[in-house]
Amino acid sequence: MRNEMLVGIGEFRVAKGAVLKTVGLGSCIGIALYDPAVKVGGLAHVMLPQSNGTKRSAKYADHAVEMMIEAMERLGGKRDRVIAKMAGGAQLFKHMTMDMLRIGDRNVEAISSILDDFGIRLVSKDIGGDQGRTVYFFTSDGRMLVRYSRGGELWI
Amino acid sequence: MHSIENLSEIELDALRELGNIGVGKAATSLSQMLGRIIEMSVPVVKVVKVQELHNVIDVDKIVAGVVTALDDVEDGQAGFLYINFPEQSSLKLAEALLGDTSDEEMVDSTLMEIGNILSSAFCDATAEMLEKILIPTPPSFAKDIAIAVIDAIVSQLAEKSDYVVVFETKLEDSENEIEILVMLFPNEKFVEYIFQLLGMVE
Repeated sequence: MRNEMLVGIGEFRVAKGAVLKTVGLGSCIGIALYDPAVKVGGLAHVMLPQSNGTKRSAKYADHAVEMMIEAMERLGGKRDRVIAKMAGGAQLFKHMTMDMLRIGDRNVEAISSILDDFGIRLVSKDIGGDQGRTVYFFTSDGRMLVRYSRGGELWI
Repeated sequence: MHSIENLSEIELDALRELGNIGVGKAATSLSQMLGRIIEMSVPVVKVVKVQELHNVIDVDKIVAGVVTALDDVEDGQAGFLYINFPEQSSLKLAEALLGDTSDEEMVDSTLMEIGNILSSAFCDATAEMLEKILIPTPPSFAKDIAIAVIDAIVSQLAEKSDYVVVFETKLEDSENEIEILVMLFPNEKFVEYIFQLLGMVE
């Protein structure tokens, strides 16, 4: 895809016009933020919901949301106009012997409440399942394309 | 204080030695199980930042992955050992071991067994070299694009470590040469063990 920017595990990017892409969301979650008025958007690939006071990093959802909003404001965004979409939180491992790997559900709950805290409305999501996702976020119009690793796709 | 980011050649050699001892033991078990010679070696070891893993692996290729958690009998969880079988390698392996790859479930369970053998062997190696006893949990299995499988593991460890030790592993019998990746996702404590190991070579 033209004008594509890759977001790595635990990273975020903000753009105006570009397509933001993150490959291979397993139990992690892709959070997209969008200000439709100025068409500025951000995408984060977060691993954990809460930072618990550690140093600032986009791998935590609370930090990622905050950092994305700040970066979007520098591009003319306003936080009270920002909406959110999210995808991910799958359960990839079969023959589950480790409870720890069931992290997806916990992530989704925590992220919803973090968005609430920031007063950001979650407009759509695609969560759970048993396969990985690659996500494209079109900052030109706020659409999000979810492509599944075993084939098939979904616009949210 | 050591930094795992900038290891010297000698330190990487020590890590590779740990990998070689581990896979050597696994090769012995596999050879006994199959009644023929299987050789395994670790030609290359790399320490990679999680965010840069896409430089080391084909992120969007479908792989089979087997993961076990490593438990330290004294301190609790030490990290995860993850074995990544590229699609071609899993088929070759299953063919070499089973002679028939038509039953997908059987293939998956064979890969799990190899994962089991490798993680036990790896724990034996750390016990020998570091005098730390680690117990592997039974393996969990996933088949998905490479980076998504890793994503599910690193989300467990994100708070504790940002680095992965990648052992590029070669498995050979008389006919085949099969490449797999053995990745160690250490938590803080396990990084300490690794430094103890590196201390041995200084």
